[in-house]
Amino acid sequence: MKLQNFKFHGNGLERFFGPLEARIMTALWDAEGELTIKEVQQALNKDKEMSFNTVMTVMNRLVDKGILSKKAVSKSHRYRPVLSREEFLEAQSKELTFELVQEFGSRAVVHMVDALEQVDPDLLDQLERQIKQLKKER
Amino acid sequence: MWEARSRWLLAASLSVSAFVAAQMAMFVLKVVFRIRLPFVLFDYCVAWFRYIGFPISLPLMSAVFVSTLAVCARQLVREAVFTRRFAGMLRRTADARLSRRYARRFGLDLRRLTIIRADAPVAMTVGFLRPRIVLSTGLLRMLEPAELAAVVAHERHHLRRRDPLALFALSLSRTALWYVPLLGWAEEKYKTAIEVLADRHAIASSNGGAKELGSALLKLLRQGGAAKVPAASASFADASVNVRIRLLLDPHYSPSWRPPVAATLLSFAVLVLLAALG
Repeated sequence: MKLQNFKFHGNGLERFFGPLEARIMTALWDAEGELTIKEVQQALNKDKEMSFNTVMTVMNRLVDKGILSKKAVSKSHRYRPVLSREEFLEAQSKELTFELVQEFGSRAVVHMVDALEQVDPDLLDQLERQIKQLKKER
Repeated sequence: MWEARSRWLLAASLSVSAFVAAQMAMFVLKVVFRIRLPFVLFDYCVAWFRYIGFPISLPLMSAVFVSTLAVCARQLVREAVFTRRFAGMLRRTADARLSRRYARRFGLDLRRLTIIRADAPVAMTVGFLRPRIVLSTGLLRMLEPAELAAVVAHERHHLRRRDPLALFALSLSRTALWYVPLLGWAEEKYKTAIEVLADRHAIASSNGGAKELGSALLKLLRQGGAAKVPAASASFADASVNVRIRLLLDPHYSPSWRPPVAATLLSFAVLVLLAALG
């Protein structure tokens, strides 16, 4: 799961989600279980009136992104986050670190190794043989 | 040899940039404020370029100068954005406990070393004025203690020399003065030189000699998915990483330092032209 359009500003979940998405995720994580759209809407209504349709649209979009899972129970659907809040934040920061380090290269960074694609495989094999040899000698 | 060359490359590149900046300043004084400077020689140069049919025109030269300023501004903004994002990333992923422990182990100031929680093996030195070494937990897991010590010694050399700052200055010169192709060559060679120097420092400061550094380098390259099949061309023979491996295999290896002829000629022509306009 990899989120596009990461926002570097803001705090907590709003870095990864739109404002409404963040509130929905918070409601689901706080509930620690499965909720229906109606229940999520009620939780959100404590702060601000939300229409059922808006909540449904956003929640289904989160299902499409693979962040929520949806299960049919009797007549309605119940939703739950795929990852716990901690797992989610950890997974996101891993993705982010990797991206920042690997792709978003700065000019003011000196990497221990870069330009991996330029490595001559024959030289690498030679190095491997030499290191093995040296380790044997000791 | 590498030390002297790296200093020479940096000094030469920065003087070229300073020269072009001075020429631009004089150009602005002359064109905008109508101040004549007493450089009769340059007028001869202009006359000569006109004579050989080189299209010197005010709009063309202004376009070159504006592009230089625009590239400079763009790079500085890009760098500022990166710095901000990077600082945010560090705040979110830094492991304070591990950072303290390793800073103590390697005798580094806590502001000079950050351990981040990341699976990818990361070893780098980043920052202009207050550079710091950034290592990842993935790297700590992957390397043996002696290999890690070699990597830290390598990065410590970058840290002490403020290599990130020098690299940024060279990169800015190369992109802003795109019409002086020799700067690209200088940047490449400088990159190689600072890595070789840092490797040497790491080898000298470790008990195991080249073994620990070589072993760490090998792991990093293999783990990072270095090419398994030979590159189609030999164009990377002089690439920094290959020169480093060759030097680990044979400490007396000496790569070619000859600048490319076409780039050199073009660079000098451009500099004379700029001198002519000053």
